[in-house]
Amino acid sequence: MSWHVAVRMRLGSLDLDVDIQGGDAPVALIGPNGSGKTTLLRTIAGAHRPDSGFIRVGAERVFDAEAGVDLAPERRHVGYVPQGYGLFPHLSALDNVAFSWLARGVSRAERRRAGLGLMERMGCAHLADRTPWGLSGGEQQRVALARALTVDPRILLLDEPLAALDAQARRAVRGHLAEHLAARPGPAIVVSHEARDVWALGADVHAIEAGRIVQSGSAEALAKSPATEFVAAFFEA
Amino acid sequence: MSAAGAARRDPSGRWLLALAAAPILLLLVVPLIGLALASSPADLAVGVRSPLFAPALWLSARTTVVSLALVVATGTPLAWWMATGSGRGTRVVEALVDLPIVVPPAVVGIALLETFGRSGLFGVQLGALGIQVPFTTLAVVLAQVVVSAPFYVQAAAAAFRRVEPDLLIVARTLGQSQRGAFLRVAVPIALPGLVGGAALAWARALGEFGATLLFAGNLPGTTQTMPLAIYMALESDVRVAVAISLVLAAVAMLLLFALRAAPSVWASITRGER
Repeated sequence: MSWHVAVRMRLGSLDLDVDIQGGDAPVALIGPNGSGKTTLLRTIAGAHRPDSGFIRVGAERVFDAEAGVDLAPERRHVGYVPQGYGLFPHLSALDNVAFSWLARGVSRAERRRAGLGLMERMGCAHLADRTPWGLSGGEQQRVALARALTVDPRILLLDEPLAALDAQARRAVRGHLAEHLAARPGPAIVVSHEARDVWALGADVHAIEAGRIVQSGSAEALAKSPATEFVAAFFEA
Repeated sequence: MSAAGAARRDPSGRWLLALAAAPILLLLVVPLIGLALASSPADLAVGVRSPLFAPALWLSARTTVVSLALVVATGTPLAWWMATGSGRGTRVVEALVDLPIVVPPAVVGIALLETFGRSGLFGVQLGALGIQVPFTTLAVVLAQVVVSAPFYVQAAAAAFRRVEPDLLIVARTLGQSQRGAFLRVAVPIALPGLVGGAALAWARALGEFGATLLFAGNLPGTTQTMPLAIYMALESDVRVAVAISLVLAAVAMLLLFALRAAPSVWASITRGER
């Protein structure tokens, strides 16, 4: 499945003008703070409305300014995991995972059964009855990823999935995440601020600065001949 | 070094500070003790059996429940609107909502009279419809709504502001409509703040005196709420005034206790500690 995001928008002081596309492989989005990475993910999820352009996921244009198409977030089939994972603090891990089935009118017993099954496969079933407060960063990440997968997303949007972790947890979770993204065919956009995460994902990279894509390509290509100081510094570390 | 840390490390300064703070603390607490000591069980029984007591209690209970329902029903959307906006309009509205807190209750009463009274802003229209607002139970409720709403709206807006926007986006991507995300995510997360604000608003409505007296009058059974009954009782039998005051003070203290305890109880529930 392929996707294509070509949007322009002004949001506060950010002037976003981006045209990127990809296929089934995960794509990494890198850039300095405030460059528009998170805004871009939220826009794809449907939280912001671009001034012009379109967003195509698979065969469907979920947004098209000219055609007047603007699907609500709940109809876009995107799996969004925000920075800090965005678990609902008032719900148990299991109820977080099963949240999307609530809107589809699935019975409580069935939600529990299916949620536990999914958490089993994600290796986090033992966390089912815990609340997000008590979970480590790595555990939260697993629960949030499981939750995002329940909508059968056509595209996964992960905002700094490894940022909240200490160095040791980061290694373990990085492996887990790379495995899952590799095992699940389908597009993913992963915002990252560490070269090691990008390497582990084996992802193509889009570098964004001040709302513009400044360089795209494989990690090797960007590391070899970086187009900007930021890209050079990113791969130097 | 923090100011608190500095004070702790200097015990003599700490004592001086306590000495300076004592008068205001005493002034806050001693009158309540005085009130408690003013009555004997026999006096209390006389007060409770007075013809002023039961109708005022019943009227206060009814009107404050209705006014709280109105405040929550209309104040929640307003609070959400304030919490999710950022423009100049939002800031203007925030300031307007605070107005009834700084405007004296007596002024609120006159303002309501000049709005809903016979010669007021809507006097002609209301008169044509045969509706009289001043000096009715409806006026009591209106006065309570105006003076208590700011407490709820500000607390609710503060609670809603603490809900991370990303959580709502996540809820939307997980199939919830805008309304569903609000009801299933924003409201549960903000609930402790909403309940706290509602309790404060209710306490303010229960104690409302000045605006009610001017706008609704002091008619037993119709507009004479408990604070107004105290005012009337003082002219005939102090024991009745003290009895009603004790009931109001007890309710207030229960409320305060619940408000203090609620956040930690809530936190332990949401953390799954039982």
